[in-house]
Amino acid sequence: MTRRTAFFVLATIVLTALGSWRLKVQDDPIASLDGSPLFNFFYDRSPFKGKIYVDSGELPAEAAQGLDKSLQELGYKPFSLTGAAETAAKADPQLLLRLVPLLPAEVQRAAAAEPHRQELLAQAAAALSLPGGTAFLQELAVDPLLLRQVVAEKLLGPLVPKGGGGRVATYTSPAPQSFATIGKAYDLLAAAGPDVHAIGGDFFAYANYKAVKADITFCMLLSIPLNLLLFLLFVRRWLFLVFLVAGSFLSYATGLVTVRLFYGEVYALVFAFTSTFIGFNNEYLVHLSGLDRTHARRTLVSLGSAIGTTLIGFLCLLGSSSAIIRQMALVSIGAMVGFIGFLLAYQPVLETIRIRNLRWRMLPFGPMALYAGWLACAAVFAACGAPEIRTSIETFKFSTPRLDAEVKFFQKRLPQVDLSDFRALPVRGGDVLAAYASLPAGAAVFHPMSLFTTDQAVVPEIAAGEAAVRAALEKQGILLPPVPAAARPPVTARAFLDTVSLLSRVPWVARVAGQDYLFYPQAAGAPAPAASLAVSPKHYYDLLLTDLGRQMGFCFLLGLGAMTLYLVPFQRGLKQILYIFSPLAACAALVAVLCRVTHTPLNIVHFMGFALVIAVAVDYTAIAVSTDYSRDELNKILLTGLSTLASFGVLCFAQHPLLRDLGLVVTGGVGLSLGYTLLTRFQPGGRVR
Amino acid sequence: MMLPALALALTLPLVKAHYAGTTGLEADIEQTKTSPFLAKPLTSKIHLAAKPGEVRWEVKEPVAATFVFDESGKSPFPDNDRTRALIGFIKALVTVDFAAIEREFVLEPTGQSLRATPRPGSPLAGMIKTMDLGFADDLSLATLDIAAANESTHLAFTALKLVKK
Repeated sequence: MTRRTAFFVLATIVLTALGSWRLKVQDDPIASLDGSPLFNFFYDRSPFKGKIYVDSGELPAEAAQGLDKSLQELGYKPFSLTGAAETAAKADPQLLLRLVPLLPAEVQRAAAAEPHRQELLAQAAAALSLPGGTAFLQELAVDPLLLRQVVAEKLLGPLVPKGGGGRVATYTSPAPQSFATIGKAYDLLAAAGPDVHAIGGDFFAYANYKAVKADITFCMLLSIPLNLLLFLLFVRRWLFLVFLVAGSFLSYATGLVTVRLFYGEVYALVFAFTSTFIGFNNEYLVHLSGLDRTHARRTLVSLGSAIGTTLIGFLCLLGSSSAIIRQMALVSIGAMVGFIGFLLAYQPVLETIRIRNLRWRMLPFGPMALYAGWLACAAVFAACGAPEIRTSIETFKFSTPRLDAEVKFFQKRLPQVDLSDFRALPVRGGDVLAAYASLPAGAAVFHPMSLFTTDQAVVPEIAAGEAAVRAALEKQGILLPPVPAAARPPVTARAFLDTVSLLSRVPWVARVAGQDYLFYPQAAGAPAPAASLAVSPKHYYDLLLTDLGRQMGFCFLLGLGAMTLYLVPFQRGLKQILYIFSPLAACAALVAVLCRVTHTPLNIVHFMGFALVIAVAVDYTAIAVSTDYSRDELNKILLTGLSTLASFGVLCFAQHPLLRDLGLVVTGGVGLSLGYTLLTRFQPGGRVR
Repeated sequence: MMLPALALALTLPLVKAHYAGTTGLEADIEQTKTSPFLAKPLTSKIHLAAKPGEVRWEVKEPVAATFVFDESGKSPFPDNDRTRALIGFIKALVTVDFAAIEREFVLEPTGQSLRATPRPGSPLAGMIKTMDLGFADDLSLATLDIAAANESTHLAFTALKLVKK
């Protein structure tokens, strides 16, 4: 082993050790989305955050208990969803009764009226003939007209789960999240049979994790032999593969150290992204192999253009507000520097490697055709309009038939109204009634404030109704003890909403970061007030991801501008620069057409794909035009292009939609650029041969 | 050689085996209820008829009334978790459905009866303290004593007929 080799082996080991020291891997990409204080406040109260729901149905008691015990052994802790309300109600049995005056007067009158009283008497008689039935009389003793039930139905009814069969237990998930633990729980619940149903974010995360793992294994099993085949066909020297593998190890190490300089916790998605290094590394290796020293300037120009534009692309991504994207950019820059440094150290050896020289016909075209092409692309883009940029959190979600079935099962037990899109409206001057009144008609699916009333005229009617029930029961020998002196003072709108919030676990009103907000469920299709903010996870994350997508789009525009400026001193004129970017123009026009025809918005995954397309597509044309279509360089482009297609093409068959979309974008963009670079020949002088 | 003690010893498996395969039940019941809410103990005469999917609770005295609890889930009481739990329990109890009873209660033999105590977390835990199922020598259900928060109920079964598969 030479001293140089020993140095790189040692450097790889030391850097890997440094990069892995106290490394924390974050599996959940959603954790990278910084929540606003308002969103965090609402999300922390979500009944779905960090919880799983298990319905043991008609499972025999012993089996249900065994399941419960096993889940607890795995770290899932039983959690009472109604705990806060139960605690509040136990601490203050009159809590619901105090809300009675806030019910609409007609509802109160109906509760005190003769038909309702007769119904109650019949229920009391029925209860007495059944075992355990005096529990009903106990209810009547405190509340002879069962007004608490009316309050619960009217105020909380739309918010409580539907009844009917089943035994749903709620558990808080163990922290930190461990897929090994979730996997055990998932398998345990599946083994319990069709009577047991379970749902929770853990299971979706686990399904995602399993799908990505299976996809990566599948893609590696397919792309590695394909790449080996390509190298055997074009290079036929094991030394080339040794450089690729050894250099890639070093590049992983330098990439990891670079990202660790800035972050203690690295996202698993960033590690998945590092699988693309092989593609980039392979490109640099191919182009630095078998260098022709007789054309040193054009080699410098071509490599300077290719490496520089890729580096600029990654530097621009450092401006993103997403930690994942910044980490991807850092790891890529570190890896790139490490790999190129490694190759430069072995340059004399690399020069001995020759790439197979294939020949094929190319279609020449001049500047006029180039301008016409750009104009055509611009016209197509203008005609189709800029594609809509929108990302949904669903893009990151992978579901299975089993999870879909569980969603359907639990949907039947969820609240009766759609509460999936909660928004927060700032309350000015503490006046919640005014804030509620400012909501456009039909904007809220439901709001307890709609039931708020201060009508006290029915109070004597209620008292008379209660006395009538007691007297009628007494005639039947049923003696109800006196009602405890329940204070029913006028309640303010704020106190009313605070109480309903406590009982329903939905913060209908709250002060967050010094500002009061009125929370309401937004009706689908209805206009939302301009001042309102989305706080439901799905809608909040959709907005956040859409913003990130737009930000990435802006970064690309900035990057393309910087690349253009960078290429000016390297290239001989504007025509060459226009040619270098022409595959991107064609891609942009094609994407605009596809988005228009299929009504598909561009999401953040497409932008991640575009980042890779820009990184390689610009390299192909830059190298081709800089080396005046040297056969050696064209063959190198063919090899690296086919290798990239083999690496990303297999992703098109992934089961996870995120990876599939990424594969489709990169394969489409790279395929177009590769075909364009290799099958056509730009003649900047205008003399088409 | 006589084994009277062994013959009389009541065990849960023995009772379960006796009632295994029971699909229906019919009996006359005299129910006596005492409660702080009642001026005096209330005695009712009831005819019970249970078959798969339906329990018919026919009160003969003091006021005639018939309650039918079937798969529709309808009942004369307000529809809430406690009511649903109570009705489900009554259906399980009167049909001696041990699997359903054990979902809510822990059963243990005490002499010639089985004592049922609500499991922690059961919706019935706040309503029922204990329940004693008394069996005759032939293991037919003879009495049922329920101690609830505000009542004690004694049910005496006569003319019990079991319907088996």
